[in-house]
Amino acid sequence: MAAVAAKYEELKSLNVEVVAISTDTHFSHWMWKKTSPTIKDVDYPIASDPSGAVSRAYGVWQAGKGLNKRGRFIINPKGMVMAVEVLHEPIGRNVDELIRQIKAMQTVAENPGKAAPAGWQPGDGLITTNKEDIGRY
Amino acid sequence: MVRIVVMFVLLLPVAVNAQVLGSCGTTDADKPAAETYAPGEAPVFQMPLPGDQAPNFELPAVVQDEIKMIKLSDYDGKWRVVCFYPADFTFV
Repeated sequence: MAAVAAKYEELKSLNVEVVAISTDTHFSHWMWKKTSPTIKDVDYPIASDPSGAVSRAYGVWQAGKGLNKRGRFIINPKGMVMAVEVLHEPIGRNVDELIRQIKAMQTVAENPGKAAPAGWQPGDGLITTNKEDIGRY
Repeated sequence: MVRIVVMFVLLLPVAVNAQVLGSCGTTDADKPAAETYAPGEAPVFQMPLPGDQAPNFELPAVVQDEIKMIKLSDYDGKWRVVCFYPADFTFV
């Protein structure tokens, strides 16, 4: 949460909005934001799903616990899911990898017919996917 | 007039049920009526995978210094990262 907050300005500059969701109430979110030194700087929405309805719809709800798995969905401007990552606790996420993936998706979206190869980094070239390129990479 | 009514609805206390609103990126005309579930009765869906339309939703949220209802579709036209996490006051 705080790691994403630290990179939120960069994410916003990439036309990205972040929404965090847990099954806590919005009262809990409010006090967490008021009292936690690391969460007070979270400027993106922290949403509350105490019934688990939305968490179920995303397949991350754990019936035995009533708590969500740590699931992260990248969704494009048209509402299509582009990437899913679900981590078993207690492993945290890597925001730099999130940003790399979004930059790759945005670059490919601007260059139809091209692809971002394995290990692509911002600034790297894209590869072509013509039949002459089959077997090249 | 409609705008005033919408504003009034948004200002109501946000103690309403969470709603799953159908696929994101569809027009209002395409959307089925919002479904609500009693606790324990909601079906468990398969996780949406890359290539699927993301389920739209409406939930109460803390947004900076406000508490308000937000929808995923409020951010249509933007890239979105939806992060689920187990609980407030945890460590990761």
